[in-house]
Amino acid sequence: MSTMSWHCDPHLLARYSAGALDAVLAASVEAHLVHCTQCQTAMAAHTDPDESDRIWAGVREAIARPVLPWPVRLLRRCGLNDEDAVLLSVSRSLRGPWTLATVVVLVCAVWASFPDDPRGKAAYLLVAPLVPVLGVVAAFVSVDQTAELAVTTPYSKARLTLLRTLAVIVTTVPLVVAMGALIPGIGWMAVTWLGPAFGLTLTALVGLTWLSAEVIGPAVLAGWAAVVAGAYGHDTVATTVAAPAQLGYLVLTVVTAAVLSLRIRSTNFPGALP
Amino acid sequence: MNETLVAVEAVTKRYGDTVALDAMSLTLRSGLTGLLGPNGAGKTTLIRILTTATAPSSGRITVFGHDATGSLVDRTEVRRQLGYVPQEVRFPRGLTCFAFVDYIAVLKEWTDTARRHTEVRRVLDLVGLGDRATRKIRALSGGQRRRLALSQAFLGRPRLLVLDEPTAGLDPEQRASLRTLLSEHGRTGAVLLATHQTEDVAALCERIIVVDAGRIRFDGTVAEFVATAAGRVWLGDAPLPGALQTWRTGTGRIRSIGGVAPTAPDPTVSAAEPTVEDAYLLMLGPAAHAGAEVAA
Repeated sequence: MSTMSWHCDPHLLARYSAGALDAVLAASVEAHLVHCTQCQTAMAAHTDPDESDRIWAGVREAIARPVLPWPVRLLRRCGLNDEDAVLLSVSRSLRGPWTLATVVVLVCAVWASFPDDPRGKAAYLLVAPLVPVLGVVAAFVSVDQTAELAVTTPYSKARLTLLRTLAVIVTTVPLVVAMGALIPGIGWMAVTWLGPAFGLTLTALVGLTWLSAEVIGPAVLAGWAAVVAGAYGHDTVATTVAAPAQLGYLVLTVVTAAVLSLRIRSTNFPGALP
Repeated sequence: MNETLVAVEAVTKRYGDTVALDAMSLTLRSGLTGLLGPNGAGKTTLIRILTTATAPSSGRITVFGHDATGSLVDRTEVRRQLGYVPQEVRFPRGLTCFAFVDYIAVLKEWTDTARRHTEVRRVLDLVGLGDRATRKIRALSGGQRRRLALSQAFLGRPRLLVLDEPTAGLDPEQRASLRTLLSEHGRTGAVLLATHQTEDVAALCERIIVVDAGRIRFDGTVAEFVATAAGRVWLGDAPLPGALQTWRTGTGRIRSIGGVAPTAPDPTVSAAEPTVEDAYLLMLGPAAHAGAEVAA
């Protein structure tokens, strides 16, 4: 029950409701309404309940709507729709690859300041193709947690997989290419690493239809490291991204894409489930 | 009319040399069906096959006329009618309650944002988490997390609800609320409730299916199931010889499940009204110990 001794008259409330009061008087009425139950009741006659419900629904919506991670907000500005943003924000697939890509680029840039050291190029070729691979794998590590639920929903697993993969590639590849181009002496290597990157990413995706992300990530990493280390040992690092090798990556990409397509159609996905 | 909504026909599931389900057949209609069985009996395997999370080694499952073991198109149709709560739900890190259910709603093809958010709020309210919508999941108690896992199953009012141990971790009041919710849902769709909590089955289900070692041991009404224990449960001053289970009740008398009934009239021993738990213990014998929750 109200303990106020003064109350707003109906005319004042009507003008307040219509927005006809000046700022000072409106603020005064508002401050009074917060504490006076009698005037709150009187005010109800001047408000449209439907409008009030709509306003409260809007307030509730604004509070409950999750804050998207900043890479997803960036993609939203570039035209990503709301439901795709929700899917990506759960996988948290973009923050890790961005950080990883930045570190890779910085390491390579420092190393490239020693033009006579072939280890700089070897390191670049070792790590650059793995950035999108590890980004995709990282996306599945977090989503694996809900795989049991996600697999029983009608959403296309193929689309979900492509969405996560594309999001990782879109947010990492341009950065690595751009920074690689700034490194003196790298030359075409700044883009030729894309061949193994696509092949390895698709290989990882195919692997994920059978095994968990925790297994596939290290396996692909170890495999590519063995290839680069072998070439480095024979002083032929550049051959890992030369034309014949690129043809091999193209074949690998096509074959793994075909296998991935078949796996998604024939089994549940991802394959961390028994 | 109570038509068959789900038909399981001779479904077998093998993991290597282990047979988890052995040519199992059953049907589900509208209403609540309790699925009982000890750990490793095949309950979770059956549920995972029913929910299309895994494929059977052989056999066929039809859900609302669609082959759940068939093409991707058929499986997708089954998934559109399905609400599922796995035994254990692991939540992605850093999410709020709202964000998690919103994510599952997107996976359930709720494309219109405003309608999706309204539905998310509805299911959160349904399980009593409406005021926790903006809370991080990591800040929730175990019972609240379980309720959050349950909430997503009600998105879109699915015609088939499959729940694996839904009441684990819930306090008595929350369990009662869930029972109300499930009984309401069972009036319009099929609910399959896999649990060790025999009192939930007794309170909710019209029908009980007991599985053991990948096979169905019993399929019938609750009354029929309880009747299998009639005349085999006793109250006395001492344990009955050969009883499967005995315990001292709150009145100080000893309840004996099974055992050798007195051949001559004994004023200290009287037949007791059997419960679902008694029937379960008697049906499965020592195997029931692995999963049964015995109320002492």
